Amino acid sequence: MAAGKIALTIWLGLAIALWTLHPLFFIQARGIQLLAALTGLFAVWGWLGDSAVSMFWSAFLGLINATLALILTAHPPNLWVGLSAGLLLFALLDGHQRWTYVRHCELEPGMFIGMLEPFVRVSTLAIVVGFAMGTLLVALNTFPFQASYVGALTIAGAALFAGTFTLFLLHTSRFSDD
Amino acid sequence: MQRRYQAQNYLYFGLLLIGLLLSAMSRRIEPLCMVLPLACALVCGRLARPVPVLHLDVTITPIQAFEGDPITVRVHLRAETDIPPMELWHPLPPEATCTDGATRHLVALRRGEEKTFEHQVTFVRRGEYTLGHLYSRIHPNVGLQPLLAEHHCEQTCRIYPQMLFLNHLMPPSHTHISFGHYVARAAGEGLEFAGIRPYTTGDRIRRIHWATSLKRQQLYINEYYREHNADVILLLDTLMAAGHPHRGTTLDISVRAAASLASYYLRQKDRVGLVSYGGVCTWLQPSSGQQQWYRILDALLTARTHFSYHSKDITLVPPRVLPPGALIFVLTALLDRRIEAALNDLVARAFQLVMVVVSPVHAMGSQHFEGESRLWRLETEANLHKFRSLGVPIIIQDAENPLTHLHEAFTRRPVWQRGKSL
Repeated sequence: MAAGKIALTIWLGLAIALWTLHPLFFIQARGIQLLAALTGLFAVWGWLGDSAVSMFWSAFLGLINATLALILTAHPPNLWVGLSAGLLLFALLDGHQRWTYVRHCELEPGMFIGMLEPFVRVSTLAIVVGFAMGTLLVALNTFPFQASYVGALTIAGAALFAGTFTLFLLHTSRFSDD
Repeated sequence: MQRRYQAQNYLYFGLLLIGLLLSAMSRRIEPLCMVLPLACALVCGRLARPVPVLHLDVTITPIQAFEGDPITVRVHLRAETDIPPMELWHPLPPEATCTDGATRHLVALRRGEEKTFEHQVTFVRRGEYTLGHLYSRIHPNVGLQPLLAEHHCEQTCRIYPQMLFLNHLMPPSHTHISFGHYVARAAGEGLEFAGIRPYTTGDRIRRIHWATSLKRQQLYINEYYREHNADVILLLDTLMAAGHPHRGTTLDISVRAAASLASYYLRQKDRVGLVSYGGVCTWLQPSSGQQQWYRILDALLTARTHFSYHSKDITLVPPRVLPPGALIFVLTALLDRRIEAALNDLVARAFQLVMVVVSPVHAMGSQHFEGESRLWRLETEANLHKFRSLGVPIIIQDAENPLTHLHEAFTRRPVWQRGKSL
């Protein structure tokens, strides 16, 4: 089904372009431009060569570039900016994964919509969780903590989240061969 | 079905940790939000674990075919549960090509839904091949933990060598009395009408020619030409072969020629036998009929080169396999000089030899190597000069079909010099 493959190509191309250009919406510094170019290069390389490693490097550079752009511009904290970049990143990685399968297979009618469905579901969930997290952080900000406590709490919260998530993944990985 | 974790899981998790680190270092919420969809995808993939049930049937028709003939593979799917996007792959042997349809499909099925896929496979080389071993990969949810399964619906296909076109009559010079398509000059038992003669004691009543007998008032009987047939032996050189292991070798070309000659002479009601001369020497006794045709095809199907430093002596082949006066077609690439010893022996025993020399240049598929082709031809001509001088018809392959010039070689050959040794 050629139409499905064309649609997926456009989808992936659009995700790469937006993910690469995202930090440039905030600042046009030369370093940011260079990192954006590298991000786009890795993404296109990974796309054409079916390489997950290149996609990882693209995502990694894009994350650093976006963070740098936000710090340099001293942009006020904005949940939407982060979530939109996150959805773009997910569209890029998920689209690349689908693309590697679709490239060698014959698509049956209606498969493109079927493949888009998990993306929509996860994106909706991410938006809900993002807003919940944002509300929680705003609520935490109302407490009169000292500045040093905030830093310590952030590190402790991040470590706790990473640890819990790792444990969850390890626990569920035990049931891989059912 | 087996659940497997893709590299994408580690990639997502790595990016999640990087985003978390960047968020903690920069004290900004955005990096964490950027990796939030990845965390959601990982959690969704782990929590929902559907167990799809699928029934799969494979039909392969026909299971016996000739090289180049299309074989239809029909895969029928029936879903007992909802099947998320599934990749279905039917890997083919390297000798096979998919000429119509696709061997990989991406499909999603609802509960109770049935679907049939069809593709055509063509084999470029003879042999026994197994088709119908399928793999499926189901991608539930975000596809981070695909379910892999193997489906064993194997069926064995027998691919017989392709028949080469032979339209001219190539009668052997030595025949013997038996039922066959060759008629003798002498009258005897047969079907071909020769004439009439006066009745003598002992003649069959059913052969009386009543019209002439009534006209001449004397009994006349019909006479028929005696029927003959010949013994044809196909000597296949399996000492060595050159070419591409999947697309075809000199042995495959020889096998095609042997199958075509066997088919042709069996149609003429001749007795055809087969000798595979190599490290392991095998043979089939000459016989005629459809059954012998299948025996030869089955023997040719498994003909392989068995490399050995020890070559068998052709005298070991029993006399009933090499009957006196038999027409022997030698199908060789002359890559191993040990075949010449066997040929010398056969010439000395006054067999009628016809040599078909298969070109390794054609087997390699190197059409552009004009120089190599000419060099090989010159060398072969020089090696075969002694046989040519004895009147052995030699056909050197210079086209796709090695038997193209067989008729010319038959018709222009000099008088056979019986019993002359080298």
